[in-house]
Amino acid sequence: MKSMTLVSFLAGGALLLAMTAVPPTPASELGGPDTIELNQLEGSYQPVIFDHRRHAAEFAGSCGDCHHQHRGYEKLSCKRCHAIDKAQFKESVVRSFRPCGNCHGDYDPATPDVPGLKVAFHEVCFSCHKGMGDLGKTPAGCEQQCHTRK
Amino acid sequence: MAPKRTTKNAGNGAGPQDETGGTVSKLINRRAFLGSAVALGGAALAGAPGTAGASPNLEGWPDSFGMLTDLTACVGCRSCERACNEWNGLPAPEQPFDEPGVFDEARRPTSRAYTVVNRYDGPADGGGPVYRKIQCNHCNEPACATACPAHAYFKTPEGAVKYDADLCFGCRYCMTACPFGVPAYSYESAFEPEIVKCTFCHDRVKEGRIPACAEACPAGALTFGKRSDLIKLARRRIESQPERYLDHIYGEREVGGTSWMYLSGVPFGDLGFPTDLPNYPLIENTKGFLSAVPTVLVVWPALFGMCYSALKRREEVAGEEQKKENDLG
Repeated sequence: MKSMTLVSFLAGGALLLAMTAVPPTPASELGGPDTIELNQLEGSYQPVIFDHRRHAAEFAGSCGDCHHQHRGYEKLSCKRCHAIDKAQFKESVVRSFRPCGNCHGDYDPATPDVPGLKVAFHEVCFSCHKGMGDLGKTPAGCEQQCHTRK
Repeated sequence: MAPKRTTKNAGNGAGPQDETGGTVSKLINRRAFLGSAVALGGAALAGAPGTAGASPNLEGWPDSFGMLTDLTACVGCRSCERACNEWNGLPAPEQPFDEPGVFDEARRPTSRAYTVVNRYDGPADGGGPVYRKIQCNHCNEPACATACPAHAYFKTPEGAVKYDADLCFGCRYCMTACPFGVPAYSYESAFEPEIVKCTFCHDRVKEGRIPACAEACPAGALTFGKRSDLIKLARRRIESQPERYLDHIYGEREVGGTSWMYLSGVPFGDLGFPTDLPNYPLIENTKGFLSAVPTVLVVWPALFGMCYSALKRREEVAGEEQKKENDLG
């Protein structure tokens, strides 16, 4: 019994190692866009050209780091994020992604748990960028890393 | 008696309401003001203390709106200040909105800025500074409205505590009464002074829009919605991320509840929030005293006057009888 436990521990460890050792697939190979133009703050700033490919390839461990993706606390149904198109879904789950703005459009006070697109994007960016440089310390931090004032 | 929501001042009788449940402040004119004073006198004569009653079980308007401020999400960009300034047509600030130097001193809302963001040191173990947005919290049972002798303040069904400058005569009791030190006095005009504070963008909300500050916030620090929904949302956030939030929704119960509520990762006292506030409306503190004032001022003089007259009369009668006896004797 003891040896069984040990073996399963080792197997689990090896599996974990194998999972972390796999390099993330570049977004373009998965069918995701290379760059995305974000212009939710067009009143004050020039558009942000978000390098999706680089973030996916170099920084994110998996799509789930930024997108809703079957994490422990996610209770979203599949169809909220994936198009219900069997052919597309079979070919690539990633290609079946619906645009973020489908759910995160203009903020609706009737659903306060669904942030608008501007807030949703910032929340994702802040999850890594807050604390880098002056972001989160002074208003100037906004322009240090992402935004260029018009 | 079933607990009732107060529409206006929790004092002597609620203000009239229109068919949609909206408070018709304009109807509270001088006549109504004097009328209510007479009614108060009448109540005193009838010896009915406690008519100026706020319900301790006040729930607020059932569908009123609120704002959930997540202080753990704020990055201090001051977009809310800028949006508030633009929407309300306030004068340009002395320093631009992206000037970090403003955080060097603690600010408070003024007649030129209905909301301000202050910076506080974060927790000692790192995590950066914490920002706190300050504006009127729009209490369910506002102490400013209770204190205002002119009925200039009123709570709307949408949640905003509004103020009518036409009725204000500048006593500034509201500034003293507010537990959060919010109403500011405008000295810009010597002849038409007025109290100014956040309106919760009541004009926008009536049009189905959300307040300007919430629309501008890029960080998800301001969430506008039904107050009841926001309390549930706040609870879910606390439950799902207990390491991020204190188990306290500031404003859910403080002074009987406020429309504006806060989540924080550091103790509210460290961020300048008053932490000694009761969970009941502040009017409860003064209700007994205030309702006794008319009784004391009207009934007591009358009662003691009658006693005095009766005693004096008795002395006179006794004096006359003594005189008669002396004359006879």
